[in-house]
Amino acid sequence: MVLQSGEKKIRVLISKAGLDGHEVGAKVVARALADAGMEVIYTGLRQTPEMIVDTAIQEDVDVIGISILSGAHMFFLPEILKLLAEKNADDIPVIAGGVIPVEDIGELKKAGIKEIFPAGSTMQEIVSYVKKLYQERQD
Amino acid sequence: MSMAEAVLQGEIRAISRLISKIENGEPDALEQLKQLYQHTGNAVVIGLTGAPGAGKSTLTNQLISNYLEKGFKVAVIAVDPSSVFTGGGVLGDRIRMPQVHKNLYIRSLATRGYLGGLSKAIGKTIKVLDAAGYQRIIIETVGTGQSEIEIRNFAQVVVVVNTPNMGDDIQTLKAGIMEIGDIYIVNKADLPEADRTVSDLIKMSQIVGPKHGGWMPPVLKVIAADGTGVPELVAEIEKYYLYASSAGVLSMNKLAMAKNELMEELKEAILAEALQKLQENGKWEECSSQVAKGELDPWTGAEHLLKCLKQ
Repeated sequence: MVLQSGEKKIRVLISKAGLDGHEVGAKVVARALADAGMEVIYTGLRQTPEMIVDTAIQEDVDVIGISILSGAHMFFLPEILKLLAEKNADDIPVIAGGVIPVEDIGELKKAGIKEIFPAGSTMQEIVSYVKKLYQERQD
Repeated sequence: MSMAEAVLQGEIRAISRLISKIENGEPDALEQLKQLYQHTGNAVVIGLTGAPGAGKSTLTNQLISNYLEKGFKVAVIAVDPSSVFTGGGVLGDRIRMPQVHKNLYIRSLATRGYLGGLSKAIGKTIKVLDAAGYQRIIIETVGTGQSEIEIRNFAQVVVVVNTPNMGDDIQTLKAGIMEIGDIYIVNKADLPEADRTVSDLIKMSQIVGPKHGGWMPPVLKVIAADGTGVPELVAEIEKYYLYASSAGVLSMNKLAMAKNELMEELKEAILAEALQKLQENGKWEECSSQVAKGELDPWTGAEHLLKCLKQ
C-alpha cells in the first residue's frame, strides 16, 4: 500500500446551451465519463454562454462539453469561445455534440472547437478523446 | 504575483486552481495556504445537511439569492459522492443554482472516498474562500443518512433539512443527524403531514432541551421551490450566529476545530513518514505477507512495525 495523498481527477463540464430541452444525450455522456473515472459537473438545461464559462472557471474543469440539438450551435459555440478568451480562460478546450450538420463542422473547428461528436458517435470515442485532451494539457 | 496573492485579490481562476491543488494533494498548496491563513476567520460558515432529495440544493439557491440581495459575497461548496467502483461521479448540485453574479462563487467537490458526508478538502477549501473575501460560505453536504455528522466540525451554523413523512417520531429520538442541528427545517411544507413532522421535531427539541446553555433550535417550515420561509430561515441563521458568538460557543468550538485540524494533519504526516520508512527497509512488505499467509496476526504485526519505527 502506498499512502494516497490525493489523486488528480479529470474534471469535465457537461452543459446544454440555450432553449433546448433534449438532455438524454448529455446525461448519457455525463454518465459514461463518470464511469471512466472522471468528475463530471453537470449543469442541466438552458444555460447561457455566461453561465457555462463562469461554471467552467469556478469548477476548474479540464474540458468543456456542450450538447446542442436545437440548431443554434453556430451562435452558441463561437460565443462560448469568445467569452472564454475574454476571461483569459481560452486554454480550456471545448468539444460539442448533438445534431450538428457535417457542413458546419469545418467552420466550428476553425473557430476553435476542438472536436464535434455528431449523432452516432460512440461513448468510447468521446471518453478517449477527453482523455487525450487532458493529457495534452498536462504535457 | 503568487497564487495566494491572486486569491486575496479575489481572482476566480486562482481560487479555482488552488482548490484543485488542495483536492489533488499537491504539496505547494500548503505553501499558499500558509500565506492565506492570517486572512481567514471573517466568514460565517453555514452547513446544510439532510437526506438525498430533501431539497438542500434548491434551498441553497434561495439562500444565495437572499444573501446576494443583502450585499454579501457568497460562496457555495456543494459536495456530491464519488463512485466507489470507478472513482468518478456526476456532480449535479449546480443544476438547482443557475445563477451568475460577480459576488457568487460555486464549487462542486466529490467525496473521493471520504466518509462523513464531506470531502477531505473541505477544511482547506473553506480557508481559501474565507481569505478570498467571501462573507457567507454555504456548505451543502452529500445526501446524508443518519450518521454523516462531520459538517458540525466545519460549520458555525448547522441547518438540518427534513421533509414531511420522514418516518414516525422515533426517528427524531435517534442519535446522529438529529442531534447536530442548530436550526431544523421542514422543507416541502406544502405537502401533507408537514405539520406532524414539525410537531415531532419540536417535541424532540423539547426533550433534548436548549443547546449550549440557552439556544432552543427552532423548527421552521420552508418551501424552497418558491422561497416561502426563506427570509425567516436567514434571520434565524444570523440570530444563531450572533448568539453563538456572544455566548462563547464559537470560541469553544474553535478550540475543538483547531484540535481536529491539527490531529488530521498530524495523522497524515506521521503515517506518511512511517510508511515511507517501513517501505524503504522492507518491513512493510515482509510483515504484510506474513499476515496474508496466516503466519502472523495483524495485531502482533502492527506492534512489531511500531517497534521497528522506534529503533
